[in-house]
Amino acid sequence: MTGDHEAQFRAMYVEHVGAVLGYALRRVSAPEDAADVVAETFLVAWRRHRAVPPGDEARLWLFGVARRVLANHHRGERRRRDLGGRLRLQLAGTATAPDHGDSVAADAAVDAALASLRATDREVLTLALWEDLEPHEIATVLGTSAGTVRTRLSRARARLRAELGDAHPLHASTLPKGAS
Amino acid sequence: MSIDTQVRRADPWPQERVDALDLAGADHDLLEQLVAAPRGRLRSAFAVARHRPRWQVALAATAAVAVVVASTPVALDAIRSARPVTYDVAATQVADANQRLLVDLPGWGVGEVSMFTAEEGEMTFTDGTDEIQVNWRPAVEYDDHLADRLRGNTSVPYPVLGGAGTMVRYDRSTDFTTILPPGDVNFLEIRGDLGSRAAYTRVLDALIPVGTTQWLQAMPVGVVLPSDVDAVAAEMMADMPLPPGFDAAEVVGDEVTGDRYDVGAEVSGAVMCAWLARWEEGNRSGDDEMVDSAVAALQTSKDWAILHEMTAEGDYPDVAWTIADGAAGLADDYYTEGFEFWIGAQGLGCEGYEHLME
Repeated sequence: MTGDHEAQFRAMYVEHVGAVLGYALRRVSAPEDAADVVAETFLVAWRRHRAVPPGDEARLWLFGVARRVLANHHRGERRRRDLGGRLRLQLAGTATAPDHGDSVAADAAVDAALASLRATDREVLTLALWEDLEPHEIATVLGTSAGTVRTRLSRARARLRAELGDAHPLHASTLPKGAS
Repeated sequence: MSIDTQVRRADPWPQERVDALDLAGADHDLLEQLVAAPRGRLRSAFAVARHRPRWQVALAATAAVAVVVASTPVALDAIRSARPVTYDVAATQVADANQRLLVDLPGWGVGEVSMFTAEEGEMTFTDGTDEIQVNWRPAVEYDDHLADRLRGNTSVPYPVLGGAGTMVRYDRSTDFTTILPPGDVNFLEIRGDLGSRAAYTRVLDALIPVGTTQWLQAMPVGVVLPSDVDAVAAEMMADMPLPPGFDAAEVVGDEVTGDRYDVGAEVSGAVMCAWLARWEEGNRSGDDEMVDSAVAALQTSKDWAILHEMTAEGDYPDVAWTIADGAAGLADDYYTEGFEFWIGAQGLGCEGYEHLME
């Protein structure tokens, strides 16, 4: 059983490490901190192998764990293990801030609007649009119902639209009448 | 442009960008670190760090042994002169099935034992400063494991314990690991970063196989053998109030053997989580009596002997007591103020409260 477990874990890691790294990178301020989130998330998976669902459900489960690890990270908890040290160094050295090019101002406005959302609204919206998850998948990650997710998504979009307001180049007031 | 398109464009790390990152094998390195980590029914998703290596505490806490070895691990010479002890069948079977190594150097002894089955296990040897880690792994994993270790690293043949070992050097570092050919059940890997190849091989060359009893005697004092887990768990629960319907027999599984800290976390976590479940249920249903009894029971954790024993070694008891106080103080408004609280409960290993952590 132990051999099977390690083989399964290795396969799961290879399949999902990129997704978990992406999830973490999108939500930490310094790229190297994503290494800690990835390391801690997969350590939980390694130690709680029975809790990890098979197939693609594993990715959602990992997001759910990463989310809680991230919450601890944001609370300022210090890294407690020497896991993923090389990944940390590598990310610090090679992962540079994204270049938005011409769209800097527009993206900054969206960033600011996203930041102003309630955390739960921001979370469902980014899981939907950055991780490309369906409402029922987001519900699995968050441990809630798909209906709740849909409600929050709808609310999040409305609030974001309102937040973007005048800063937004396509704000209603700047559009021709009849456009929407 | 739709709101969705704008948010997508604001993604700081589109997945294709993540996938294109040059990680230079660091992700693979993490995988190897992970699978080398002890696993099992560890209750804590956010593990609570320990202060000191286990052996120091285990020995310091046991006067009878402290007389013999003071603050050093159980060294081979001390074991040789110790009086023989009879071990039970379960422990002996596990010991019989593996190579039973010890380090035959002055001051070197067993440091930490995290896992303990015939097929798979992990232990460290230390002289209090340096450390090597010995893993035994299922024989069927040998080919894959060796191939993984060889990838990107240099290796040389190195005879050890009479076998044709393969010594692998990690990435031009002083971190070496040596893998022995598999036996019937398992194969050995010995890893250490002692600052130089010479320092590593000095310890490697000093590994010797010993008899079953001698090997079991070398276990750190705190290690709980598989056959003793239930009795130890029962002893730890003796001063804990148990909630109605709590099945004490289900608390500790038989797949992991650790030391008293591991078992203590398992036992006290199970009891606290059970009380927390009642506390939450009482709050939800408005059953004040249920809430009060749970709060009172959780408060008794401040007197639990095992938690006091564990304080010398790690932060688990502090987390437990914080949760106990949190339950007493947060009861009026825990749905809105309870985020930190439930994160802490998660740290104890309590599950099923994710919905309260939003």
